[in-house]
Formats: sequence, structure tokens, C-alpha cells
Amino acid sequence: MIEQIVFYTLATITVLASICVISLNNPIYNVLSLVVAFFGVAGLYFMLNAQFLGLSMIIIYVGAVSVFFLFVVMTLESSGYKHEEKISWKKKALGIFLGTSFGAEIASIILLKINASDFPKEGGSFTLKDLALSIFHDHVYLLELMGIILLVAMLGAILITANKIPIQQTLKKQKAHQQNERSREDSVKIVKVEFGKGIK
Amino acid sequence: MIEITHFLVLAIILFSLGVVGVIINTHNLIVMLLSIELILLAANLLFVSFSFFTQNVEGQMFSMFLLAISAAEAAIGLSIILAYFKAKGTISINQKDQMKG
Repeated sequence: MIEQIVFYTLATITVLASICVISLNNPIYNVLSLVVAFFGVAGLYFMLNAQFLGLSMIIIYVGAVSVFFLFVVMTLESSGYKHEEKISWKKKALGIFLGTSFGAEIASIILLKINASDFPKEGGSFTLKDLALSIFHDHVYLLELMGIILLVAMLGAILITANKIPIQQTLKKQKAHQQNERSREDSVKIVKVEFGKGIK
Repeated sequence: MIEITHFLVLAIILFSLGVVGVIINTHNLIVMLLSIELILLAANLLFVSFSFFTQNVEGQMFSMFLLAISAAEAAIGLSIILAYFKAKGTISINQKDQMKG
């Protein structure tokens, strides 16, 4: 009974927070509601006997990644980013229709295939030792690969952002409004050139 | 007793919310990235719940690696957003007038 109460509370918190993530209009509130959603899922991990994962999720996401997102939001706001207008109802309706139909498709496939009676009655009870053996002994090459991926991600982030040449100079863009606003008087001049003198 | 279908339904709801967020929030790249994080969160929850209900610890191992992957994705995505903002002066991808030959 208590298990069900805890599950439904955490699930409600998570779903409400994720609705806030996609619907609020201020990026800071979006990031903070994502933090709340991660807290809810971390609580669910505790129910699923994955205490280490829950705690590392809180440390990594709430501690590091959300602060990273907030840094970027603050950088953008200090360099002149303005919130845009509201989303049109057409796009909202399209998004909700596509999302619900997609979710219903996945749900109908998965829930028809998977019966709860196929699984063992009691869930697994793991210790941290099992997880550590699985990571550092059975799948150690995956761990090395993950290190390489993180290194490449770090190098890529540095290369993309720490650019010595301003991007404005390297990008070749067409400025359509300037082309359209040119009038004939600005650009063309008719001159009578006398013979032997040329244009001064 | 909480069964696996409860967790499945929750993960599907989170995944669909992430998809809706990617579709409707084209005026703000940061919110699109947050929606992708939601999708990854749903996948993570699926890994952990299947690991619990099949009594196999490898799901938790994959969930651990998924955390690293999503952190790398967030870093790359945010740096791309910063470069985009430097180049265009906006983080919206709504401008239809940019789509021409």
C-alpha cells in the first residue's frame, strides 16, 4: 500500500514537472522543472533497488548538468537574447496530436507484448558490488569507450565555442533585405563622358 | 504491488512528452535540448525497471553509461547553441525566410 502511494506520488510529480518543462515560456523555469523531474525519477530508482544510480543521477544532473544549462541561459540573456512570442495554437495542436498518437502506438505495441506475469514475482536485489563487477570486470571495454566519448565531447565543445575568429567573418551570408532595399538612384548613375577626358 | 507495466506506462508518458516538446518548441533551442533530455530520461527509467524486474544487473550498467552519453550530448548541444547564437543572434529555428536556395 505504502509502495503504491510512493509510486503514484513520484510519478505525478515527474509527469507534472515534465509538462512544465515543455510548456513554460522562460528557459530558467524550464531547466528548474527538469531538475524536479530528475528528482522524481531518482526517487523511483530508490524504489527499484538502484540506490547508487539514484544518487549519482542527483549528483550528475541536479549538480552538474542543470548548472551547465543555467550557465548557457544566463550567457544568452546577458548577450541580448529576448523571449519570443507565444507558440501558435496550430503548432500546439499538431504537437499534441503527433505526441499522443506516437505514445499510443508505442503503448499498444509494448503493453500487448509484455505481461507482468511473465516476470519473476520478487524484483532483483543488487548490491553495489554486483554493479561494480558488471562495469569494471564484465564490460570494461564499454567503460574505456565511454571515456573516449567523454573526451571527444569535451574537445568538440571547446573547439566549437572557443573560436578565435568571430563567426560573423567566416560565415558567408546573403543579406536579402539590403539587396531589396537598394533603389536605382543609389546604385546607378548616368554620366555623359566627353571624348578624351574619361570619368573623374 | 507495483508491476512493470506501471513503470512502462510512466516511461511512455515521459517519452511522448519529450516528443511533444521537440515538436512545439521550435522557437527555443534550449527547450528542445531539454525535451531530448526527457526522452533520454524515459529510456533510462526503462533500463532500470527492466533490470529490476528481470533480476539482471546489466540494465543498471547500461543506465550508468546512458548518463555519461546524455552528459556528452548536453555539452555538445549547448556549445552548438552558443555558436548558433553568435552567428545568427537568435536561438529560434522558426525563420522560414532562411529556407531558400
